[in-house]
Amino acid sequence: MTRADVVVILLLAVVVGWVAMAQWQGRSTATAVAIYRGGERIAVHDVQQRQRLTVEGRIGTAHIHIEDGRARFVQSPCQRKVCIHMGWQQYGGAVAACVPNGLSLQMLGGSTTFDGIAS
Amino acid sequence: MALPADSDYRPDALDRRVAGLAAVAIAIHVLEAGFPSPVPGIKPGLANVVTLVALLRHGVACAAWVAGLRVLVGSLLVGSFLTPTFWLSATGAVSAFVVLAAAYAVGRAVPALRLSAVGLSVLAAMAHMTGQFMVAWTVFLPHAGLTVLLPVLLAAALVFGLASGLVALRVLDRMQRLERAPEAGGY
Repeated sequence: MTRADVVVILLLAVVVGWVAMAQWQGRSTATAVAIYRGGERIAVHDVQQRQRLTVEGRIGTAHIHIEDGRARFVQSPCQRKVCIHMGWQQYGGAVAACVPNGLSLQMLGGSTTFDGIAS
Repeated sequence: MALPADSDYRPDALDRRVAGLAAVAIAIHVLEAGFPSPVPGIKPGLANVVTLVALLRHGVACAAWVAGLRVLVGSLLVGSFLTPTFWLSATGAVSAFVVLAAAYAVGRAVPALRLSAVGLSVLAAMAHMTGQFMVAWTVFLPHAGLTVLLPVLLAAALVFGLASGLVALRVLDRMQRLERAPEAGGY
């Protein structure tokens, strides 16, 4: 290893840290949740209002619960249930997605602005 | 075996080197594709060790061939040729290679900025991930939420880049020692 190696590795570590800070800092509680089907926004709901939604996806019906400013998938016909394991989402910009079923939800409001890399 | 009549082509030293190194890289690539990954998009990328070895021992042209052949033949063997996986892999490889070649050129021009296999590997891994992420994000899943994953992916790239850089360093060191002892038969 050379000195330049150490410098480069430290610099890149700083970049990773900076991206992480920009991403996770300033995230705030969402006010609404948008439901997407295949990239198209099909509904927006207030997250303070308790709701039990059933949404038709590409391969079947998914259940989405909304309560206490949070939202999550609770049932899905997909195989690996990644969307369900993603759990409750509550911060602005947070996402839970079910790729096989073509459904996703994204929390809106709060600070949904991302960092320079994202925007 | 007779060559076709119209062919005067004889493989030269570079061809043989490329063929040998690419074969090793492809084998690693295919083996790695068989291992399940806990998070999609994260894998160690040990095949890049071979690209690094090619670059540091034989220069940019050799490394470009090895990296290109690995992505192409690797995808044919795994069965992902021209699928999204292939495009992600290809973009990653191209981004990594551009950064790798640039860092290597800078190191040759300015000795103070010369990186060893470790620095080059970390740079390449980060470039690989960044390039791949950009394509995944702009082409396949243009969803702002995907950027939440970016820090995790970049951190993984940093760690795995460091790991394969250290492996490359050991491989280079071992190759050098084998060459100094000719009775060992070289590599």
